[in-house]
Amino acid sequence: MSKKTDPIPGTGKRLIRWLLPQDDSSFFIGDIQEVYFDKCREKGYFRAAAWFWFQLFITMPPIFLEKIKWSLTMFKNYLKIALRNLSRHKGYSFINISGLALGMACCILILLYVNDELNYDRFHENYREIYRVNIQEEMADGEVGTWAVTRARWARNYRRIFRGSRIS
Amino acid sequence: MKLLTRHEEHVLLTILNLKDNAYLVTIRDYLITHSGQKLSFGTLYVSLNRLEKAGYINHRIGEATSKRGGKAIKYFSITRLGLVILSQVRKVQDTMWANFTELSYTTRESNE
Repeated sequence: MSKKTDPIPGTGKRLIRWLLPQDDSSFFIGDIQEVYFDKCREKGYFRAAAWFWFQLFITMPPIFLEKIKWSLTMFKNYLKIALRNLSRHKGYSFINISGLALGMACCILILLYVNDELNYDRFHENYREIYRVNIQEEMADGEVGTWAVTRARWARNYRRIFRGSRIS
Repeated sequence: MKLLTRHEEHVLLTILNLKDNAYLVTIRDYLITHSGQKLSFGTLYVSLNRLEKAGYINHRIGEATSKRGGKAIKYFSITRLGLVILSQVRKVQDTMWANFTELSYTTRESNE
């Protein structure tokens, strides 16, 4: 089948449009289509398609490397400008940045503390129904002490206590 | 003093040689026939972009043909800065090769 212009495969065209910026991709597609057209005439469709996909495969690494190189260069440029701005308005930048840092640090600390407090002894299976009962009693020298020990008889007297176990 | 890499120098020389007809396809064909290295479109595209950003070549947009699926051609041409840097590279080469002019290239048939 000899069409007037053998177009390159559609997915290949889309891949090129994704790889290259908008202006360049049309020229590139035109160039590669020329050679593809000639190869189609010479060697037939399958050899031409194989050549085309091989060329695309070979073409991708340098273009990616170029993109990465440009991204790094732009990043360096932005960094340079940011540092220049900082050093031009030192006082304002210092107040701004240290305020943010302090705020973030406080927020994170509060988060950690609350998380820690809420996750006490979660490894028990029925942790929602386990309670810790404290006693406050006055000792011999007059001080008030708080202990987490209870007497065994309580388990019998209070109806809402399900189960008790003696530790020592 | 800025110099060029070998590859960039070859590309600039092909653009010089091809005068008005220098675009990706012809540059690639010329390089394959003259230097034997089968470059991909990608490396050529990247090199041409770099050279253009450095200011050594210019491009003009040519007409679209039906063979290309209706896409225009980007022809490249060398600028004055490109000629200046090519001559600088040539000067460096010549000064280093000056003492070894008898090491010229010969083909196998003309060797004794």
